[in-house]
Amino acid sequence: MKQKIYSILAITIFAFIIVGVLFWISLKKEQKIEFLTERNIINLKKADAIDLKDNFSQMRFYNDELFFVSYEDGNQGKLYKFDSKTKKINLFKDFNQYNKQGEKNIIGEYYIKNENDSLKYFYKNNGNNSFRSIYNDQLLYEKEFKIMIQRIFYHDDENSIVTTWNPSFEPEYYRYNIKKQEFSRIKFDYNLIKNIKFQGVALDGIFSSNNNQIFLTSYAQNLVFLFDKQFNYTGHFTLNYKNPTFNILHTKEKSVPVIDPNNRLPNISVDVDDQYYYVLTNEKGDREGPGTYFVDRYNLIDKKYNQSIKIEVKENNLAPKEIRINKNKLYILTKKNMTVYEKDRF
Amino acid sequence: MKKIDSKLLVFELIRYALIILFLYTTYHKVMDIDDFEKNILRSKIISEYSFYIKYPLPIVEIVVVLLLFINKTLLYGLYASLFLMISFTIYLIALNNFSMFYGCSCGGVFNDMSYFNHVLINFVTIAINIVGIFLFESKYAK
Repeated sequence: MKQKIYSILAITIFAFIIVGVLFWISLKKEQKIEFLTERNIINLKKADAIDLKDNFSQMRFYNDELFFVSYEDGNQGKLYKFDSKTKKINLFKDFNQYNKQGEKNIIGEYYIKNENDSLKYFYKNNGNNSFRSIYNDQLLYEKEFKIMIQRIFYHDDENSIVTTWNPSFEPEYYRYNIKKQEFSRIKFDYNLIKNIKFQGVALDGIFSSNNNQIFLTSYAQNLVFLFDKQFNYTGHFTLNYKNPTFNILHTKEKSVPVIDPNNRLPNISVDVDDQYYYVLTNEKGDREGPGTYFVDRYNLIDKKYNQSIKIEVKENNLAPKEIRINKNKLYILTKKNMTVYEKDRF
Repeated sequence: MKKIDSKLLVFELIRYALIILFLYTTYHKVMDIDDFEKNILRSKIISEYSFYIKYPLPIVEIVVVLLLFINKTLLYGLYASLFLMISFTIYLIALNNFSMFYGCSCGGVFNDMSYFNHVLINFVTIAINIVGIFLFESKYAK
C-alpha cells in the first residue's frame, strides 16, 4: 500500500516536471513587443465597472446604445443590448429563427443601420461564410459569398469592402455589391508589404471607421491601411512598434497550413474617432491572459503616437479584449466585465 | 456455485476501460495523423516538438495498452497510463490558461469536447486509474 502511494506521488511529480519544463521553455521564448519610443502614460478616471455576468464579445455602439454578441454555448446567433439603467445585458434579437434546418448561425462582424425609421441588421454568418440581412423582423436576404471572405466593412447593400487572401497568401481587397453579387478588386500598394511573410494572414485584421475614412488594422503587424468612403485605398500609417515575425507552420504529409501559435498579435482591438486612432495592445503581443496592456492613441493629423493608458492585469478574466470610444468615454470589455473611463484627458 | 470476486470484477472493468480508452484515442490519432499533427502545431507549448510527438505518442499509447493487457506487466501498465493521464491533464489546464487554443489532440469525440468536460473526464479517469492501482493484487499478475 505504502509503496503504491509513493509510486503515485512520484508519477504525479514527474508529470508536473515534464509539462512544467515544456511550459517554462515556451514562456521563456516570449519577448516584449519593441515599442519605438517611451510611452507617454496618463491615468484616466474610472467612471464605472460593470459585471456583465456572462462572456460577451463584439461590443458595438449604435445610436449611443451598446450591443454585443456571445459565443457561449446556446447564445450564438443572438444579438444582445446593454441596458444603461439596470446595467445589465439583455437578449435583443434572436436571429436563429431564420436558420434553415441544421444551419449554423455564428454572428461575426455585424452592422446596424437605420432605414426608413426601422433598424436593419447585417452580419457575416461565420457558420457558413454568408451574409444575412434582417429588416422589419424578416430575413431580407441570406447570400453566400462567391469567394472566401475574411473581413467585411459594410456600408449598404451595394457598397462594402471585403478582404481575402489567395492560395499564395497574398491579400486581396474587393468592393462588393451584395445586391448584384458583384465584386471588383481595389488597387493596393503591394510594394509596401513585400517583406512580410504570409502577407494575407499576417495582415488579417479589424475594420473601423470615422466620418472621413475606413481603417483596416492588422492583428499581427504594425500597419494600418486607409480607404476613403468611395472604398479606394488611400495609403497607410505605421504603428509605433517594431514588427514581430509572423509564421505559418505546415503539416508534413498534406502540407496543411497552421498559424504558428507562438506568433505575436499586438493589435487586439481598435477604435477611432475623427481626431484619434486608439489601439488596444499587450506588452508581449498576447491576446489574453495576465500581463501589461495599453491603449495607445495616435493623432490622425500627423499619424503619430502620442499617449497611452496602462492596464496591469493579474487575472485571466480581467484581460481587456475590446475597446470602444463613445462620446467622452472609453469602454473596455474583458471576459465578463466592462470598465468605463472618462476620456476627457485622452 | 462459484462465488464472484467483486474486487476482481471492478479491477477488470477498470483495466479494460483504460485499454478501450487508449485504443480509441490511438486509433483516431493514427487514422487521421495529419489532423493530429495539425492539433499539435496549434499548441503553443508543443508546436515545435511535433515531429517527436506525432508518431511516438501513439506508439507509447499502444505500449501502455499492451502493458495493461499482459497480466505480468499489468501494474506497470496502470502506472504508465496514470502518468499519461496526469501529464495530459496538466498540459490541458496549462494550455487553456495561457493560450487561445485549449489544446486537445486526443482524437475522436474528445476533440469536440468542451474544456471543462474534457478536464472533468480526465479527472474521473485518473481517479479510476488510481482505484485500479490500489485494487491490484500480485495474484492478478500470474
